[in-house]
Amino acid sequence: MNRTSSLSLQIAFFIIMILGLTLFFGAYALAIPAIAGYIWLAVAFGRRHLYGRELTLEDARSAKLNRFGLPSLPRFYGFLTLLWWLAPPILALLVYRSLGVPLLEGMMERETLALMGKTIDHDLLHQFARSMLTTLGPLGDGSVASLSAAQQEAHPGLQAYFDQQHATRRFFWLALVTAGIALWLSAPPQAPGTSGRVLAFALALVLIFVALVSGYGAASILVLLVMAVVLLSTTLPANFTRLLFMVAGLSVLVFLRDQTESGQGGTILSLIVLALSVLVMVNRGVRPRLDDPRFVLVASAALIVLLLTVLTWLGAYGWLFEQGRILLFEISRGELGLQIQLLDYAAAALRAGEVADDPALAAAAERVRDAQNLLRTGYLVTLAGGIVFGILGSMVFIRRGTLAQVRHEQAASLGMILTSAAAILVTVGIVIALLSNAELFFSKYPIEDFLFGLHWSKDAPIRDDQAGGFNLGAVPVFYGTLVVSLVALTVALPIGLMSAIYMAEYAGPRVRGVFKPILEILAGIPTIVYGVFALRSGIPFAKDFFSGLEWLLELRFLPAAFHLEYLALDVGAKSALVAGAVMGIMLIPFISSLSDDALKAVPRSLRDGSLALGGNKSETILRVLIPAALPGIMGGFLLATSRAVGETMIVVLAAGGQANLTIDIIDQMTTVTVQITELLIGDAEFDRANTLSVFGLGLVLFVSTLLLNLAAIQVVRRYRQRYS
Amino acid sequence: MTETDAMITSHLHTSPHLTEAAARRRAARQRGELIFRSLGLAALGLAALFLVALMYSVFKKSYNGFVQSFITLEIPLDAEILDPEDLAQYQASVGITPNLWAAEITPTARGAKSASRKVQRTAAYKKMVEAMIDQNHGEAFTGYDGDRARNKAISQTAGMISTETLLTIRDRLVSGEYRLGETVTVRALAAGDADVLFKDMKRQTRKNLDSENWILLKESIDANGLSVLTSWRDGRLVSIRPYLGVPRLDLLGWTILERQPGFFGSASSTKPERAGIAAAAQGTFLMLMVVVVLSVPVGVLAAVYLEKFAPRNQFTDFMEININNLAAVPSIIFGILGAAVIIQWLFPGSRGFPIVGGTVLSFMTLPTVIIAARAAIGAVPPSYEQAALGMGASRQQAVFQHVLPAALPGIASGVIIGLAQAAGETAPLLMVGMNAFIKDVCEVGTGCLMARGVGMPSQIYQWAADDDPLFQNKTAAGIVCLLALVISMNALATFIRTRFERSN
Repeated sequence: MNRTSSLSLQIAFFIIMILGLTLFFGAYALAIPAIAGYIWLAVAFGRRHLYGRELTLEDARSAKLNRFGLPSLPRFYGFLTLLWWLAPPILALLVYRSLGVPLLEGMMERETLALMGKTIDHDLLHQFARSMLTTLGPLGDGSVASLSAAQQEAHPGLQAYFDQQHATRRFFWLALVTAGIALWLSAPPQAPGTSGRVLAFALALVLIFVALVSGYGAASILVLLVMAVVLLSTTLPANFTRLLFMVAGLSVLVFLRDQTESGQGGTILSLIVLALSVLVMVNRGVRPRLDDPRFVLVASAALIVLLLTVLTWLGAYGWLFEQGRILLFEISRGELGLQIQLLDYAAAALRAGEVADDPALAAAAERVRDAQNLLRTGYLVTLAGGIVFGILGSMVFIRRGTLAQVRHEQAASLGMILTSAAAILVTVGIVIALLSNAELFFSKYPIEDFLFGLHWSKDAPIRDDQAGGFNLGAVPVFYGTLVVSLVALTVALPIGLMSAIYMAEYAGPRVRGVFKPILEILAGIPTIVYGVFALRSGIPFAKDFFSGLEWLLELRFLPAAFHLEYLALDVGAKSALVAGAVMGIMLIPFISSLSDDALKAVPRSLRDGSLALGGNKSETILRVLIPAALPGIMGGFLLATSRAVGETMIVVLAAGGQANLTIDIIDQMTTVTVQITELLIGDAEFDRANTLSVFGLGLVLFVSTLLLNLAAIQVVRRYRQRYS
Repeated sequence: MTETDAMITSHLHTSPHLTEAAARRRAARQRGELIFRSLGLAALGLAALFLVALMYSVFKKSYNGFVQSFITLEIPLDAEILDPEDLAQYQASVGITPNLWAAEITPTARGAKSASRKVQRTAAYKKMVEAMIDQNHGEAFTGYDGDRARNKAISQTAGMISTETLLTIRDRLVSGEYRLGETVTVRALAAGDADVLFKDMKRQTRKNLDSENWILLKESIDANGLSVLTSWRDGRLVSIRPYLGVPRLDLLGWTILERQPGFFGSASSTKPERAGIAAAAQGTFLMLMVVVVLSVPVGVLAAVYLEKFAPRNQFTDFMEININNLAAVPSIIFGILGAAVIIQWLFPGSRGFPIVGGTVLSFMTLPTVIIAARAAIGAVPPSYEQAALGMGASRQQAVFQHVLPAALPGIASGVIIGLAQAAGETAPLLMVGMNAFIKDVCEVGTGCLMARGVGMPSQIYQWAADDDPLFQNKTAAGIVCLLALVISMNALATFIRTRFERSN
């Protein structure tokens, strides 16, 4: 197909797509072809810069390319141009939106309050917010005790708010320390100046002074003192740049934090310190290395701090202004929201040509409409500005001779590094989610009572202020988890191991062809299916089985005089034993495949040696293969344990929700996962001790599975090293 | 057994110099070998047995979940039971042109309210069905002690028609499709209990009774062909509706029109006869889409980086351990992550959205995808990359244009296995509120990703917790669908792996 006809085909497809989308979704769908066309245009525009410049050896080395490695492919130019064309408008729109929408909302709020005959005294509101914040104290020791009784009366949720503040505050420190370490690691090993130590010492003194003046408090001083100690004990000059880097980074973070809490002085001084550090760094050619994965750690840590700060800010100020509103205007968020909505409707009606009857409302609606129009026009202007900026930028910075491929690949590797950090971010997210809420839980319910208490009854009908009334001793829950997992492993380990041995050592291709898919299917069945199986087939079966067993053991088949009455093998509606057994079935393929890997890794020579000495197959397996593969099998066993402990659906359906501390394993027991599910299902509010206990349980679950997994990973790793 | 083994063994067997003790030892060893071997076979057999038992228990119950009974009835829409004026008032209040004879009526506020209550509730329509039964099948209800018992029996018989059908009659009356006074032929949905009754209820119910600690006290059919079943449970006398005072169907002359598969067309319902998998399947599909969009590009790019570009240092070590650990973190922890971070902190009010469920599932799938993709990329012969480098490609070009395409089958099969895992995962869905009660399938193009939804596993969980026999059938049917999805995905993964690995 020649070029022209392929192009016309493309255009035809494009037109059909536009028509189809418009018919299906309406006129908004036109945005999609518009964006597609824009992208196409950008790429086409970029491809015009076809001529690459010849790469010198130095260029190639610095770009980590080989010497031939710069073909003048048009697509690299297209890609770079696209970046330029897309990034500025998107960023501009985001910034504009985040600035403009709150402004509009604030304006509507003011108008509404004015309509209701209430004028806002912003100073008063701020004063209130600030007075509330300062009671928190520099180290977060604020409490309602520092308020007057009347104030306490007026703000019943205050203590909860303080608790939340303390939790986030501790996290801020955690993140700060992480960021410090990360910054330290990520600093580039640049050649330092000779006068570095003196300068740094002076800088540290300045910092301490700043901390004292800024009113941020003892905590900042602590951090700065630590930095000073590090600085003074530093003998290696290379560490100086690292220190600068760290100081700069931490200043950014502290600055962000300061924005939310302390006075203007701290903010300004932090800014000065930041500017100073940056200046020194730039002067010395210190730059963050984007291609270093450690830098990603820094970026993540900084992002987390930023996020926490924003969240704290939103939470704190939102709450405080709400309180202030109630106090000053005697109107709640809900009422105000309703009134604002009315105003919004009035503005929309005005747009449609209907003027409200109330002249005041009509005037306000007109102003709101104008503001909304302005905001909308602003979007277009911002978009246009961003696009123009992007196009100009691409024309200025992408020229003939630009190392397009190098830029392209740098962007690609940055993308790859960021995606790799995603896995870490997930872990960090889990840890933060668990720790912060668990902290809140342990502040309401003592940790030792939780870990060692023997009574678990999460549904105690207790008022909010009597957290001690809950019985949240988790030992029965842990015990149940342990019992169910043990039963599961007792079922799974022998069957899984033996089937792995048989498949690996004895089975011919035909037997393997039959049983391998069976094991694979067993491995692929979702756990909910096992759960339903346990509930609807396992428990009835166990009922029959145990009543038969009872009949047999109590000699019921003899005349009545011989009957025994000592057994109570009644299976109720739920049973830990059945849940464990079915979980064992679920684990069979898991154990089998891991043992299979372990057995296969044993070197051929060991097996041959045993056979040569006259051992038969079973002796070889039992005395040579299994001992040699034991670490690998152990690793599999640990992973299986971790899975059993964390398994949810089977136990939810079949093990029951009642916490029993008993040796009767036929009875129902409850596990960590069951309790988490039962507490978190439905629209749970995380404010009472029993719902918060989810995080205590989750933390225990996470830590125990983490330890098991780490042990398994270590064992398997060492085992692999031994035979390779 | 190798050939040498066999030679030695046969030699030992025929050797005349074997002492008695040695022979005994040898026999013992051979016995041991045999026992060990049969133990291995027994283990495999047990695993197969478990699979068969599981499949049997699911498939046995599933048929009744897939099909649905209907009854064809001729119901006179009695104008005495529902006042035409009430209907007209209600029609006027909801903006439908009322029927001609009632055109003069203008609804007053109070009157309209009581009228709309009468029209909206199902009682009137049930009464019509009862009247029809009394009129047409009155002879089946003789021999009761007094009118009250008789009326009760008739009412229970009318209860075999699903409320859903009564509501349909109402809607058609309101919209003017039916008119009061005429007799309409309705294809009525059988209520859950009746539905099970039609599907060989007797056997099924008794089994369920046994399994649920219900003690069957009495099952009898009296002179009028009324079957009565009374049972004892938790210290209370419980009677089961379809049997209590319901005449045998042949006496009524009702015909079961058809058993239609309604399972795939309907969404959640409190009425088991209306419950279907459609909304759940849609939710699962949407979540899988989110998983594909989020975890595939991220996972593959991360794998490429870790396998090909990352420097070997403590940081990459840490990454690797982190990913391996993440792959073994219990799924419920991801659920907590979703509930606490996404729903509580970041996007309040996003509880139960498929996009949230999908995000949580993609967190879970991410390590699986990374590990599979790394293995696939690592398995590509280094000569591919070296050849590309030798021809002047940059490292990224070599990797992305030569290594990655060669690793694609392996990556694809890993991704599909991860998707299958995600499709069957339940606990995180429950944590993020994807167990909502979804009455209607979300209309495509109306922001289904951002509306409360439900996934197949959580739907199955909801049904599984219900003791209603028809819900148990629906559970089994749902499981069959889920298994079909998951197993076919796994099979596809295996197929891709074997098919394309051979060609390499």
